Amino acid sequence: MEDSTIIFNGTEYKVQKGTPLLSIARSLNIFIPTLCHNDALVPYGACRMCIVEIQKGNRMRVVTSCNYPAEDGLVVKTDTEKVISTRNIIMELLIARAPKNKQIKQLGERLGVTKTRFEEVGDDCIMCGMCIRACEEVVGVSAIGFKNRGITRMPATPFMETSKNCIGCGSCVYVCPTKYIKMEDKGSQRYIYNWKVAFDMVQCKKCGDFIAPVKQLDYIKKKVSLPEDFFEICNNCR
Amino acid sequence: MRLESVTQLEELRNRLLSERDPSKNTIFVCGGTGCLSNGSALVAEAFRDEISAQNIDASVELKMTGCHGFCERGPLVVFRPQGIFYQKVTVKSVPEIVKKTIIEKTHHEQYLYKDPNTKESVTHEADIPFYKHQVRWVLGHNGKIDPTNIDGYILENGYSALSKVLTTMQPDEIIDQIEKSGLRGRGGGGFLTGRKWRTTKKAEGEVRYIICNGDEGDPGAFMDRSIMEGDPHGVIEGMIIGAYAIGSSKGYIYVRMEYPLAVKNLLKAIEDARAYGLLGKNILGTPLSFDIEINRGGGAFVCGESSALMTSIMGKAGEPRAKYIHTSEKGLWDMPTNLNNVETWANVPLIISNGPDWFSSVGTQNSKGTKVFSLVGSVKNVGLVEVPMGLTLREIIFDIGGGIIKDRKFKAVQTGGPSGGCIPEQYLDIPVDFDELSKLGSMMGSGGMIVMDENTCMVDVARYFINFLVDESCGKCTPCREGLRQMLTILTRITKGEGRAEDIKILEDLGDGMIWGSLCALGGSAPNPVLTTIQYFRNEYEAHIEKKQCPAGVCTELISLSINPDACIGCRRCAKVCSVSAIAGENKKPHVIDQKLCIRCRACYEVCPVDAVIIT
Repeated sequence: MEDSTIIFNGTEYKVQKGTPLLSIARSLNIFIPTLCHNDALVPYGACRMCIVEIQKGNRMRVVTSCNYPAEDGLVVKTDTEKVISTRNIIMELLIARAPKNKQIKQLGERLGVTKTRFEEVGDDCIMCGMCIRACEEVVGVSAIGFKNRGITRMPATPFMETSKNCIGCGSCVYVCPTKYIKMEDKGSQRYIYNWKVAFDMVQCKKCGDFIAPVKQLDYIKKKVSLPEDFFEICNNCR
Repeated sequence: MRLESVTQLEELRNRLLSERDPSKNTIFVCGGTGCLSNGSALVAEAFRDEISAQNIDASVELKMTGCHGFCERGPLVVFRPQGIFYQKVTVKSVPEIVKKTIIEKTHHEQYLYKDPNTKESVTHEADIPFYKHQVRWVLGHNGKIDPTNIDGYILENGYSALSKVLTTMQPDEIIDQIEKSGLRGRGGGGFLTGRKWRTTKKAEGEVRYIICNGDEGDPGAFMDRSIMEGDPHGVIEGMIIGAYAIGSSKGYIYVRMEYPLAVKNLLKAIEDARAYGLLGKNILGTPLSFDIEINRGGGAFVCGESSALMTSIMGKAGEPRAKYIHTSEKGLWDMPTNLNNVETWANVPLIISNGPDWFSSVGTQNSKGTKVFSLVGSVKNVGLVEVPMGLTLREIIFDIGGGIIKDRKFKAVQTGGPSGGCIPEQYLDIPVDFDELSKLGSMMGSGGMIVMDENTCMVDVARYFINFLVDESCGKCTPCREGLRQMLTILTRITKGEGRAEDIKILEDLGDGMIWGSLCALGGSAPNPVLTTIQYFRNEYEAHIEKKQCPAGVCTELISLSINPDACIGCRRCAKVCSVSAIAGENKKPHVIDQKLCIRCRACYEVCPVDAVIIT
């Protein structure tokens, strides 16, 4: 891979061409807030929190650092007036979107944005699409997707009915940055309320704890070649 | 009949030309969507019947054409070679029109165009101010050929540009010529077409795709629709030339489903072109192979955005992607792709046939050629116009458009679709081109032009466009989705008289955040109607917020209607149109509006013949 020389916040660095600017910032310990980014997922550029200012020739632009690739001669600034004012507006919009959400509130405090001038919408989902992308890209199931467009956009199961494809793995729950997706394990059952699904759980043959949904383990069995009884014992007893 | 060589195409053209009788009377009935909805299909049928009844089939021909442009006056009928123009033609009037025009060799006065300013009748199409100031290049075939007949197109020199490139030009020469002409993308971006072609040609990939963007979604815009309906072969010929220049074997035309006639005419044109060997394998016996597929869009405004359009062609929901990926390098299925707008493609054969110097002789320094606009709103002559780049807004609105309806005062013109800006009177004399419109905070867009008069509330206008965009944003990125939602909330409360002192500042800050923070051009340009109306009509915002008044008398929550008893003639027209029976009064005596019942719909105001209804 060829090297590129870039100027990042005033200092010159040699980096691999094509490296996302966010990765470079992180390796330099420069804080850039993100809400729709996860290293396990393809960068999406939807929340727009990770914006930075770049200069290429005479042209200045504001781009998302999660997916903008490094190239020779690029000048990157993470803390310009434009970046801060734009990001603060986005933060205000998100606070209005999810006014009671703890995670959003904390991020706002870190950025110095604690109030919003906008009308409260009151919905914890910020449309980052991480649940949908994790389900498709990591799990490979695509049980959920976005419905509608514009302000009525929502992550949902097909036709808002009980998802037939969902395996109950809970990846969507783990990646959700605002804890909007609600999952509960109750006895031998797992519920993911947002997708209107319930699953029978497999019980550990040794300790009796519930390991994972039957459907999830069946799905994994098909993907890997491991002994049949591998899935009957929990991690702790193995 | 498949044409195996360029020579065979030219032979066909010569044969068609020799069979044509130039003295033959031809009746051109407009078959554009506007005229069709006014009954032009029935009018055409009536002409056909009358021609048979009069037994003049041998000397008179009837042609149903694409949009003539003067939609407001439809159904339109033109007699050639005389050039006589009839408007608002009815089925009943047909026998008389045929009798006077063909048999008596004069014209039917009643159906001629009457200039609303001079009150005089105009007999010939070329003398009508609406047409007189236009330069119809791209629309040259519209109104002159039957779009469903490929021979008609060939007769008008159609596919001769293709002949020319296949016999005399190398692909790079074509790109040189397109670049030299200065043609810029007509869909809104204004990128140099030649440069785009060259990048796509140079990009590495097993296949290269070309796309024609016909997903025209702006409210009130119908430029691309009319071109696709009226001159489908012009678009196809442009695409074949592009395919040869770029090295593409597959093209897509993305048309919205709401344009059924455009789809029908394009499908017929593609089928006919294939039959002649102008599309498919070894076009005109040359090594060039290229075919076109039509993709019907579901009607999402955002699919007009190039990357969302491609996602849609690939079978997914139309959402834009990050802008650092260039379509010319990684487009459809990650292959090099060249996307141009309908009007851009339609310009290509003209540039090839007439040369780049001919094209660049018209226009301004950085915007060459002509541009098609759909001129709508409060102008007298509503319709489709094509003008040289650099004509002033005043010339377009007042000379071609005939000025403002009911001789009201001009207030603003919105250019570039729902996310364009509103330009006030003091800039009416700027030349219309890509750069000048951008300087004013508006844009060329794909060529929508909405004229507003003094009875328009600019806050309400901004609210209207934002309301449109709220539904049409794809919802992917935060600034566009949440920003538009909040913009609509704020504008709505201002128009209801609930605006707050800080609202203008919030709108400005939010607009700035959306411009810089949004993923694609939809969100990036969405604040334009709000920011330009604040910039040029700030006093109207202030009146709504501080005084709770709507100066234009539009916002229903802020106005009241009453009848001036001294002016009222008691004609009862207002009482008849009032949908809530709020108006009482005896015949020939002054009427009164019951304020408790009145819903302030302004129907009485519009209908009053003596301007006795007052809005305060």
